[in-house]
Amino acid sequence: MGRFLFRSVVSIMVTMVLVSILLFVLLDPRDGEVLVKILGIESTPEQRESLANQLALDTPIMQRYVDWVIGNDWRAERLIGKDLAIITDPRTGDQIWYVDDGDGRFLQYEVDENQMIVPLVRQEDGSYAKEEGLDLWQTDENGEKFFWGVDGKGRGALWDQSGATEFVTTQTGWQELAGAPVDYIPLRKGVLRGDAGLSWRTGRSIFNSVTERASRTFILAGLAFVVVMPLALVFGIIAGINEGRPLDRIISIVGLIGTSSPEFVSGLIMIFVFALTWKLFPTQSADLTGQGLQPKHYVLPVLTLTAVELGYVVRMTRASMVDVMKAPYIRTAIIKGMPYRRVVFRHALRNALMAPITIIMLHINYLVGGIVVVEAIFAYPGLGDYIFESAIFGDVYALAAAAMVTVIVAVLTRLFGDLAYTLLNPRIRFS
Amino acid sequence: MATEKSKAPTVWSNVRNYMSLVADSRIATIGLAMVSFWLVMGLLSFVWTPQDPNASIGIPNRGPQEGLILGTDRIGRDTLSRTMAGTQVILMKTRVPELSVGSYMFGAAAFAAVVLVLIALPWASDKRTRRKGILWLIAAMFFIPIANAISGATGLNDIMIPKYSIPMGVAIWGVLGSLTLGSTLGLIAGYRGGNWDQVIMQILDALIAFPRIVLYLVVITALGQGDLVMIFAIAVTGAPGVARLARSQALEIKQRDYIRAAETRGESIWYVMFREILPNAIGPLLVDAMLRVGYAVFTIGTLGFLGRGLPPPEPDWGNMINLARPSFAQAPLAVLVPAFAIVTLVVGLNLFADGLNEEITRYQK
Repeated sequence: MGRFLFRSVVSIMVTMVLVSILLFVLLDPRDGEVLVKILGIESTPEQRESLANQLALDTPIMQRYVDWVIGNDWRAERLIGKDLAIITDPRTGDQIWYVDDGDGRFLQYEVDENQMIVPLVRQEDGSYAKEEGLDLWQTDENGEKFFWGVDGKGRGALWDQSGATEFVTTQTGWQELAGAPVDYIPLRKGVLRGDAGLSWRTGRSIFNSVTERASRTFILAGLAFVVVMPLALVFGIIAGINEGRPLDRIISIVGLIGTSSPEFVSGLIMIFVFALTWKLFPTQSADLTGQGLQPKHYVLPVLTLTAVELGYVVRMTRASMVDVMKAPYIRTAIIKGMPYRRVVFRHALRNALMAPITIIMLHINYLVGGIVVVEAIFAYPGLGDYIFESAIFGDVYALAAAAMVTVIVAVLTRLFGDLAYTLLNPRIRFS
Repeated sequence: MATEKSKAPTVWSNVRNYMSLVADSRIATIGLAMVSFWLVMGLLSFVWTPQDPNASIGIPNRGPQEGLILGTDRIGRDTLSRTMAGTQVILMKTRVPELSVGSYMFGAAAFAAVVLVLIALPWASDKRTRRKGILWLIAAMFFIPIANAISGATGLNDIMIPKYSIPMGVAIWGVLGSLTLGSTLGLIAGYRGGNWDQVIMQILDALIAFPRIVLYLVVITALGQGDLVMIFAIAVTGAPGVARLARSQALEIKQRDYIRAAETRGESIWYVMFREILPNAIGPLLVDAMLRVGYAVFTIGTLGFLGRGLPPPEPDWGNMINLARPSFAQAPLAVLVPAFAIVTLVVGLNLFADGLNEEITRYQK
């Protein structure tokens, strides 16, 4: 057992490494299309170049992969020469990087028009106070002056005296600012340490968004699971013990039609019937009023998931039940004169449930896939919706992080499925 | 000896045998009829549709009327004609976009490299041919860089080849791709076992761990929308499943005496894998492939609905539903007809596969 667990954990880790490399290489924004998406179609090449620099897209892919996985704060700390600290802004809840001055002050920097470096000291309420400009410039071997610090947006930044400019978004659009750094390190701790950086689409921490939305998706998936499984097992068993009779045919065909209708078809039909015609439930599950999600918001998404998932699990349970009912020991029990009910419940059921339980665990993978579509239809603010929106926008790091979460869920449920199978099946447990 | 060899079943003779079983099964016949209905509709749409599928000819969002049997969509196009023509992109034709000669060279090099890897992997796994296999594997690594260098140096990237279509649809090509990739890898893993099995299945496990729709979204986000990208996505997402099935088949079949006999005769690993194991494993793979075409239709529909599917202007069922969705209450037919098309085609493929499966297993018992 210990050996099995060890092997599984190693295999999961290798899988995750492969998945992360695959995602990163595949999603690498090599043609800069995302820059056009962020800046708009009328942006100039200079604006795109500036943004690519600010997002560190101009560094080699290996470097970005390392940054993404284990973070780049340690690299920035070496360049700056001081410790960095991450502090939550009490006004917005965002996490912002500062240079830890060592004497209880947390600093960011900017360069003023006199080429002086101005420390911005963090105040208790999250705002900052400007101090006198100082000459903190360092000199490299060519005599050029440079300074590594953290800029006003919490990014690692390299200033020199070339008078570089940057493009920033303001309320009036994109503006060019003087006194900008020439190189940036978008600070993050890396996915391994629970920080995937900021989303390009929303500007918020990817990690916070993903955890918040994953918890909502978990609720939806859990509800669907609780509704689907008992129904599916009951119908599957009924169909299985009536193999070939009209009841079996009806259950199988209805299940097949349900499974063969894509989520968006059944979802739209549900909306049409329950939301537009009968006006029982809202068409959208988004929290529009700010009062939080009510139970009525969950009904249609769960029903849609049920329609699609039910047929599949019924099919598995039925097939397994049919197999078991053909086994010699069932025939023997029936011939022996044992009551039919007892044969089904005591002898057949235990053996028939083994296959569905492992397949159900594998099926969580499909459930998550279905949830992506259902959340997109009903605008349910979950992880699937986040994946979809990120994919549309081309927010590749957010997409990669969210996809990693779905993969982790998949490999862990598979592990649980294997464990359950091993525990339930004495033939494997004792071999 | 020679005559006996020529009598041995091949992949194709077995596929033909299994397909001749279809008529014996009522379920498979019903399924085949449903699939054939859409095949006929699709073929018919090449020569005749009631109206031009891409022209807005009627008043938008109207129900059935004279000349427009199933009504119109949001911009007044005929729902029936569009649903008929919607079969084309998934089952009948694949549109190759306007690409440069350089892109063709890249594609050819990537394709050749994959083929070479698939040929060389079994050789590399066999002691007698290991050196040859490894040499070929190393050679395959240089294909893409060489093609890129040539097209970059000679300016081939600027010569464009106009767009055209090739026969067979996206779903079919995609499933053929996953069958080729998956069955070769699965057969090596199952037949060779040991480290080969471990490494191949580990890599495929990484792919299988993705929820299917997430992997599609990732691939399409990375490579853009297009028929060829969709084929690639279907092939890559399907390959691990095919490989698992092929592996389990190979594990069972390799115990049989005729495999031992072939090995003793000194047959090459290729002969054993593709002439001895594959023909006997093709039944379940065939059934699985039918189901996979169904999944592919399902997923193309879903992606079309999400606005990430096959590109316009040719009608695509999922995209039709997406367009008609805001006016569902006024013109329900514009949503329901393409939805009916997807559901019946997928149900048909499922029934076909189920019926075939029943007959094959009965035949084997």
